Amino acid sequence: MKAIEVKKLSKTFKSKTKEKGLKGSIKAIFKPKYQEKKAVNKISFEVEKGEILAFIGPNGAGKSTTIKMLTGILFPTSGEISVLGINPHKERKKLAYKIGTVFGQKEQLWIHLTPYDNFKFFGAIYDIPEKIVERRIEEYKQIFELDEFINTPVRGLSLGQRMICEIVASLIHEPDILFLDEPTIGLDPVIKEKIRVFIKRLNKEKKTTIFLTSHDVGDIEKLCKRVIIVNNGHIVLDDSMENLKYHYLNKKIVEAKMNTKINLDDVDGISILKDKDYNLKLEVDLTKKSISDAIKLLDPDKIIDINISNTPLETIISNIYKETKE
Amino acid sequence: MLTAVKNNFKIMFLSIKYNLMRCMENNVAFMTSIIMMIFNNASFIIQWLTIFALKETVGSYTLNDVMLFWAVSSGSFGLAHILFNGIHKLPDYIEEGKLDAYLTMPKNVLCYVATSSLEPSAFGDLIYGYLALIIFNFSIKNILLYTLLIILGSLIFTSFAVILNSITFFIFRFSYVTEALKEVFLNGCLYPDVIFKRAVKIIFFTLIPSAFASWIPVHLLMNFSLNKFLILIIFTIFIIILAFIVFYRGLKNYSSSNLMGIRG
Ligand SMILES: Nc1ncnc2c1ncn2[C@@H]1O[C@H](COP(=O)(O)OP(=O)(O)OP(=O)(O)O)[C@@H](O)[C@H]1O
Ligand SMILES: [Mg+2]
Repeated sequence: MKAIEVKKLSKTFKSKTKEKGLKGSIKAIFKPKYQEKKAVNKISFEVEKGEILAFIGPNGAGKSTTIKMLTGILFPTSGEISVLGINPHKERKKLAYKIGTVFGQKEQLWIHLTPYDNFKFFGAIYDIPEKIVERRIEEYKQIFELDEFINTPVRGLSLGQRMICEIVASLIHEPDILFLDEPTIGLDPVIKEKIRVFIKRLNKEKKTTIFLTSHDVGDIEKLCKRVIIVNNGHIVLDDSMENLKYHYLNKKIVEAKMNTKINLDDVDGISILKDKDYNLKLEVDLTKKSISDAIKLLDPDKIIDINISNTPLETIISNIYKETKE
Repeated sequence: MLTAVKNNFKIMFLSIKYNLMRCMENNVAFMTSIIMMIFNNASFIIQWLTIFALKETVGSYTLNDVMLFWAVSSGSFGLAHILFNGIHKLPDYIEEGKLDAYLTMPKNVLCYVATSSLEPSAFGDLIYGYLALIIFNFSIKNILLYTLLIILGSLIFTSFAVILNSITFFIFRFSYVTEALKEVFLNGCLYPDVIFKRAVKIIFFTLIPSAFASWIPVHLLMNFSLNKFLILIIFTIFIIILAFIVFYRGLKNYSSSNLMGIRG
């Protein structure tokens, strides 16, 4: 059995539109106009058990909408979903025992309770015996150094502390799949790193399947072996991280510092990204030209310093976003 | 199945307990809101005292009878806002996409939402209800029967609110209408049935079921009849089931908005 199987899944939102101003509002009362938005458009994919999947795409691509359908929050317009063999909107409660969800932009903790009371409450929600809940809380207390704030009402916590508590709360029942929708949004690098390390460990030790969306390339690069890119409700890429890089790795960036100014023109296979004083930045298309061609072009005798690097993942991804924009 | 029901009740109790703990964080505010509510309700007695100073009876009702309507209504209302106040937040939850957190839990959404909030001043209503009963119609039998009847009343009122608030799944910004209808429901409960015309009575027995939340319970307190009691039980079960059906139908339309804005 796969962890997740999705076939031709679609979600269309219908929303009322109106012309501008009060006049538009009055008009909309008598003659409402509806606009249909295909947030998710016939997507199909599968996720194996134990995978860490990055489900990424530009703003408004349909990522959150997909997660909400997979977790039983939203009813799909059409298509089929099976999560751990369960249809989320038919057996929502049964599924809920087996999955955990964290939405970076929505809270599920009781804001006036302390993290400790929240965890106990979540334990009760999942019908876990109190002794076991307490043991798990103790375990997470060590991992995340919760001591400092475990007895402060959630409303008094910082964003990062709160997010860690959200993650702990969603893991109290040791789910098989963890859905994370932008878990690192707005967090500082130290906490981000802490969360990443933890997710990796969770996946390794408990074999938890991770379904992650994020705009932070660091999350994706450090955690995920497989990427699905969505744009405009469509899947535009479904591949391993390695292939994604490899595919776009036939381009190298050459940055050189020269001792004299030289004049260069674009040649086929080598394009000039930056040419400022003695500093040059070239992009070499390895299918057409080699690195040595580029160095020859620069004239090796005049080079003071040189740096050859891969295209950053961030650039690769944003290029895919742009190319598939329609 | 039975353990599932038991576990659901456990969560409801736990939610209510946590809500109570929250109220008690600020004891002064909590007590003040309760006492204010009792005074607020009591101030309406003056209106009736004035009427009964001029007339012996209204319809066939004495002052004591009229006070039964007040006792039952504020008792049911109070209990509903103590136990199930979350239902009255449903329109906000729907419009702001806040149901997500309830939908990812392995519990009954409606029960869990209902107990997610508690209105502190509702204790004032509940206490007032008991005071009104004790002062004007005291007997041990009355107190026991009254307790049972306000539980039914609170369930009827809550179910009615669920049905109304579920309309928000289909029409946004419907809560103004909902609030107005709840007000009508309450007024229907507070006033003795004899003052209403036939057509209005029919409405209160059907579309806005104040009759079941207040009139029938009051008659049972005045004069117990097994038939009426059974009708009341059957109606309560009926409206609870209807509330669940309407809510779950509405839930299919839930759109989980990504609300981050400050202005509504
Ligand atoms: N409740 C809703 N009602 C109407 N339209 C919606 C609703 N939720 C989402 N949409 C629309 O559906 C599309 C996809 O939204 P979604 O939230 O899934 O995007 P996303 O990929 O999560 O984006 P982001 O990275 O910004 O979070 C967007 O165009 C959005 O405007
Ligand atoms: Mg999103």
